[in-house]
Amino acid sequence: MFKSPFNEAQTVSIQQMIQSSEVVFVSDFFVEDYAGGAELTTEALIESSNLKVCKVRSNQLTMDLLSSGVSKYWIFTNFSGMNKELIPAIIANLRYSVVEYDFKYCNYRSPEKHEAHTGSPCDCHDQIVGKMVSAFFHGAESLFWMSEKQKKVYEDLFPFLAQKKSSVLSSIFSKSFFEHVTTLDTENKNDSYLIVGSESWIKGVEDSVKYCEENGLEYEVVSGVSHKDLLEKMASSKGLVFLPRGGDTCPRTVIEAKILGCELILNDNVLHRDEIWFASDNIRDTVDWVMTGPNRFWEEVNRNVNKQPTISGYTTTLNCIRQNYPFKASIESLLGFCDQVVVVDGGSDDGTIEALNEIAASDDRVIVHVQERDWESKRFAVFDGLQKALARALCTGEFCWQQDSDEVVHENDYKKVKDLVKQLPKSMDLIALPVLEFWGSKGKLRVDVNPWKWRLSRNRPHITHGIPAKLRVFDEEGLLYSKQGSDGCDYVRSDNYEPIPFVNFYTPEAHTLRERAMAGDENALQNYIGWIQQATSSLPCAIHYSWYDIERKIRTYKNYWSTHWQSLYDISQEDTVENNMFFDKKWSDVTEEDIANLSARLEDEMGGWIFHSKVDFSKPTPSIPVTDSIHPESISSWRQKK
Amino acid sequence: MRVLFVIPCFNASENIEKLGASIIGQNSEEWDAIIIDDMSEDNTYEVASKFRNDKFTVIKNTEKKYALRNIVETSRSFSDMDDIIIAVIDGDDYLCNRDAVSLLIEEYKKGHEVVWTAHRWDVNNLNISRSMPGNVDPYSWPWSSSHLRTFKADLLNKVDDKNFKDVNGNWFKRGYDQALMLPLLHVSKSRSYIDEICYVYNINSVSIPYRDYEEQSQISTINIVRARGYLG
Repeated sequence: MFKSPFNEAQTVSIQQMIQSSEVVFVSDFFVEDYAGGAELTTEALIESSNLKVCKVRSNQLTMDLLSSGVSKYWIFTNFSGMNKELIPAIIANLRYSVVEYDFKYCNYRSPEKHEAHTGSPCDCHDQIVGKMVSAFFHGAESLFWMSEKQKKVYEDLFPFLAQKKSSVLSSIFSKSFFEHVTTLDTENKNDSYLIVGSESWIKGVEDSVKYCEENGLEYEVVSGVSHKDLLEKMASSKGLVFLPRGGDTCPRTVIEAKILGCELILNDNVLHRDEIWFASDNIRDTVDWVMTGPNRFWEEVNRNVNKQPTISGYTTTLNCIRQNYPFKASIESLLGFCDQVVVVDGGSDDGTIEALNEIAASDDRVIVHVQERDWESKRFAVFDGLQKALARALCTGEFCWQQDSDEVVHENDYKKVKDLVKQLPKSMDLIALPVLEFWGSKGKLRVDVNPWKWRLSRNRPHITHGIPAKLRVFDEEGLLYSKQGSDGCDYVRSDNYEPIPFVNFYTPEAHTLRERAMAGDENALQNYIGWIQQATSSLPCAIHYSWYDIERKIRTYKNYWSTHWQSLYDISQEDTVENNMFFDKKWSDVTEEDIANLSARLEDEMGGWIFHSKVDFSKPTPSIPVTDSIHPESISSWRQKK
Repeated sequence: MRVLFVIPCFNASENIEKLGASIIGQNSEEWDAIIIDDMSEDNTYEVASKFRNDKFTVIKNTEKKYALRNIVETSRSFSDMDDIIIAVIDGDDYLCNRDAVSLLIEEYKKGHEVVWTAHRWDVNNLNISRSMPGNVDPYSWPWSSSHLRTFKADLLNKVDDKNFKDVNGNWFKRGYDQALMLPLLHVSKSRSYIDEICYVYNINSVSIPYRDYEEQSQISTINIVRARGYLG
């Protein structure tokens, strides 16, 4: 199908408008299209904004426009013209408030009108329209109502809406309105009651006329006059009669008449009638309430626009001092952007716990929990994921940032994390972020491994760590282990261990570049380096120091990692020459000198190596050269020690 | 062997008569019941007291304990007896099978230490109970032993209370089902599932789509219990 170039141009200009705004108002009409009560209130809100606001007509809204404004704050007012198929995408992705002017859950936007037209009571709340609108309202950050009674109608029909943050806004008037009314003479009133003429059934003009006639009141039905003239009439009239046939949520006319000193004859359908600010005998109460309406609105919207979601960082430790893990630098960097840092230690006996407690004593954001495990047991490797799962379960922030104790975030990236959580679409539960893997201490970053890791997630209770369902196996003792393909720390659902879907910045194109670079294509390597630079300049990343000290790493391989994989994957490996991917000898024959020599050579000649196969110096892997400026400040003392 | 129904209740006055009747209506007489009113704000205690007799005990707490602590503390007072089967019924649920007691006793006579049955949710007849292979680590296996959950009272002697408490040593308040059953399943030598519907689980249907605080807090307990594993 052809895309109309005209529509496209329009879409592009609206997109630009959205992108240069902070708050997007969506409405069927704005005051320049039609000056109804809702439109006047919307305009008064927009006029009083201290944020950059733009207007989008509801019938212009498309999926493209929604995605271009995913980081903006949205205000939905009347949205009859909106494509209703967009509602699920809005609920899932946008941060928004709703200003409800009438009863949009009802097809007639008024349950009384519904009954008058169809002869049977409104049942829209049980129909698709009611379910759709109530779900839309439930997805909002906050709801604004015109009156208490309108709010109650909704909350009686949809009890879950009572849990939402909501406030009664009432009708809002522009500054110029207040300026104008002070110029009007309200001292010299005649004996006549005003009835504002309307063709609309719901306004009940006939009933008002009948009332005046039955009660012998002098009256005048006014229609077709400008708003200014109407206000002048009110100023000089004794009273106003308004007897709507259905709930009118907060009619402007009666507020105007009240402010202009009219005696009011109203019925129960004027829904704000009995609210204190309006029922008060003191006109000042009414004026004050109405004048502060914009503050009630913008205070809440500003809070949402600027809301900084809380972040819990979590990590796990075990004998980090003995293994020379930079755990202190890691935690220090977490404290740079987290509201809480949870550390679960597996029962260290090398002073790590004491060091952690010292950090916790100096910063009450740090929570240390020791969960001892039997690290000698057959399936000790499974504990790795369980320790992470436990740390995560103790997090209370809105977002969770997982970091291993040899990963550090650069100071320059702290703000990037905080900005990212503010902008993340609501439907994204888990995102992968860049990880820069050092190879040795001589300024090389690895190209031979994927540059991403699952990192940031929403703190939703169904998310935990563990072995995914399809890789879970139980041995003859009934103990869990994994088929190859998981490190035991995957993000999985807590009820059925199915993997959590995630969003990744690493594209198939970038992957192809990396593969070509690995195969020796120098041009591809340069392009891949450019791509990595771009990715890390816009996204926060962690720097992984696992292979920074190659000598240390080989030693932990000798003492720990080979048995870890055996335990996790149920493979039994004898200590043979063939099974040692680092040396042409058995691990038991490997000396400290062997390790020192090999690590020096690996650091010099290679840019990385995945030890699933024997190291082959005839196939040097490429690397990304970096300078010392890449290192975070927090890691400097650890590096010096090295 | 006798079945002892342990029934923790909070604001359950509307359901308690139905629940009590579902116990009294059992075809076997080999049962006793304890209703524990956990500081209800309604007249649960008064309604429950109508059932009080030699077989039915009604207790009123003077301290809010939440379901798990009520169940464990009550059951522990019978753990020196080797012929008591504890069967837990939540105050807002009820039995729907007159043979529940007989079925349980028959199953326990085979030597099992933990037995659970099928149930149905009131809204959609769903049953999430299922059998569990005899030897798997229950902490790594998907949740299987939902209602009606029962265990030998003396099995509790093998389980330390720390399994029922959070990392700060406080009794779990919500999500007690897995916190109670996983350690018992772990220490049991033999366990069995009866594929007969004995129990009706009343679910508050509003909380499902909107995952309110209660439900989040339940899952959080479950995540902690499962991540820690059995605490010996």
